Amino acid sequence: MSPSADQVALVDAPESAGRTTATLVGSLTARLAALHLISGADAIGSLVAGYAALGREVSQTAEGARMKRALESGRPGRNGDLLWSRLRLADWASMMPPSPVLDQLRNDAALLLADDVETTLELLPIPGEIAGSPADLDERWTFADFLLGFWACSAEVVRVLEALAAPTLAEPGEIVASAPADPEADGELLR
Amino acid sequence: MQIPNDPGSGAGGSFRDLLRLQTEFQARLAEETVKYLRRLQGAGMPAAPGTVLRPGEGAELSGKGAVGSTVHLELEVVNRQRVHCIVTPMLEALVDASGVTWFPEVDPAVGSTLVPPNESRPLALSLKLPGELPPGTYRGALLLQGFRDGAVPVAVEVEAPAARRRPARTRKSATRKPAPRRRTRKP
Repeated sequence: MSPSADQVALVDAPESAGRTTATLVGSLTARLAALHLISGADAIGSLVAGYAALGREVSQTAEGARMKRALESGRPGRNGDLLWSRLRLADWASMMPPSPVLDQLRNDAALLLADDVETTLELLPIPGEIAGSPADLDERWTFADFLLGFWACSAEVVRVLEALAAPTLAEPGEIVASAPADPEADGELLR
Repeated sequence: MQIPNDPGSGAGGSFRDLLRLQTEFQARLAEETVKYLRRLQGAGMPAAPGTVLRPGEGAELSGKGAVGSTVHLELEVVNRQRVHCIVTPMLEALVDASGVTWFPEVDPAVGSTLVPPNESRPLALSLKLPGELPPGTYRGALLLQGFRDGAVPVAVEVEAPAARRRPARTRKSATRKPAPRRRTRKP
């Protein structure tokens, strides 16, 4: 059924597995399994490339463009560019396949809200136990610990970036005048 | 054929140029090979099932308002997937036919909306029309952050503020006041 004129529909991406609890669990377990097959540098590099790809996409939006201009024009942007090029972070990140970070975040959040996670997990093979005694560990982190820490860290990232951009951040609602379109461009040749 | 390699001939001689080109070629070849291998590695990355945005037939977010006012745009998002989806709307810069680009301020800052499977949620955006915005029709698109495909066209018609518009006949007293001001501005 097609959405009406005042609606937009969220649908599965074509030529890929649809978003179901089973495919989302499969995606998460595949990511965890892949960590054992690649180096730490590759895993982190792929995440860095993923954030960069997302940043480039968001820079097309009004709010993203405003933040980008502010970050680029201040000292944080200049120092960041220096570090990014001199430490060869640009070469490293550009050679990595960008991780679809927002897709992964959305999928993992959807898993937390699904009502059939338990039955789906029963269908999966039981993962092997990690060698070593858990009693040796001083702390045993819970999922709630992780989630709360992730929230606190993400909120801090937002605050830090907004503080870095603040001195050079343009007022919202900026208007940029440019030359009007050339009427000759609509000539017969381009029709 | 003789190829000069004297330091004084040209910019360091042909051999130096040849060597430089060869070194650049080798460096580029190594770089492209590594890139290709990384892309190959990317093809083997775990898949992340994704979401695309499908607008309705002829869907367009449109609004109209005078300079200095606020325009409200509303849209309904239907989740046709089998699991929850979080959407974060983001507006592109809007451009009018004369080439003016407007980076609209969305008020309040649009947050994320959680849409359960087979349900719909409204997305409402309020745009403040700045006082110095020239009248015209500004066009752009609404995107959902991080979605792989799809956007909704946006059109905002901006009118001149009431004082600058042609006065209505019933408001004679209000229309007489601006006239002398105009005359004083002219040399």
